[in-house]
Amino acid sequence: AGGDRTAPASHLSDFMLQLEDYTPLLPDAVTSHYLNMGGFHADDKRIVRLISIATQKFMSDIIDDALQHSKARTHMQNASAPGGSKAKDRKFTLTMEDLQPALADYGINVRKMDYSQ
Amino acid sequence: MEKTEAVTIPNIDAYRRLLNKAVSQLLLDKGAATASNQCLETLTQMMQALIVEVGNSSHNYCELAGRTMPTVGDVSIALINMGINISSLETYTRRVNHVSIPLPSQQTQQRQ
Repeated sequence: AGGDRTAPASHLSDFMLQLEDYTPLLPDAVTSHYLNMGGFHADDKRIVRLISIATQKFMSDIIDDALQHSKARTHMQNASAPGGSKAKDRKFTLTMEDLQPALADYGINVRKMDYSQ
Repeated sequence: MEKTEAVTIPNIDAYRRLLNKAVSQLLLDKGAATASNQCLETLTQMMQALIVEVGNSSHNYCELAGRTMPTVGDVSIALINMGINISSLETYTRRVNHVSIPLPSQQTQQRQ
């Protein structure tokens, strides 16, 4: 039972070692710049990479959810209109219509202003 | 009354353009061939706000402990506090492997 308590810490230190070789999608310079805007400055590039990966995963999850919404919506539309173009386009278009409910699941409220186009 | 100019991505902010590129790359990898301009802008702004907020929060935790240089612990507390699961990051890195976006080439001035 004593080993369980140290498990997450050793897990994180192992992960930090792996970050030496892993290059995230965002360049380190970009992440560092925005971290500096928040008053953060770190010499260790692995810390910057950890934040890059966390951000990347967060955005990736949201996009996944939004596309699931999009797929569900197009599927419903195709089912209600028989004889229409069925699953012809595998490519999806992301619109606010799908992004909005996905973000609402994360507790982020996006609303278009009445006067915006 | 003067007419306002069309809103375009400002050319000066190179960092913001790179964020835009990263979001677009993520969208393409997920199978979204196109996205509305508003969507792309919302996601870019969210990404920027998230990084700034993680930085701010980590910095605050670091100063609370009486240090000036943030450690991994500060960052992990900040991420946990924001509801981001750290243990899932390792599986994510093993699953997905992106090619990093190259930084734009810097202009070097030729000496005469």
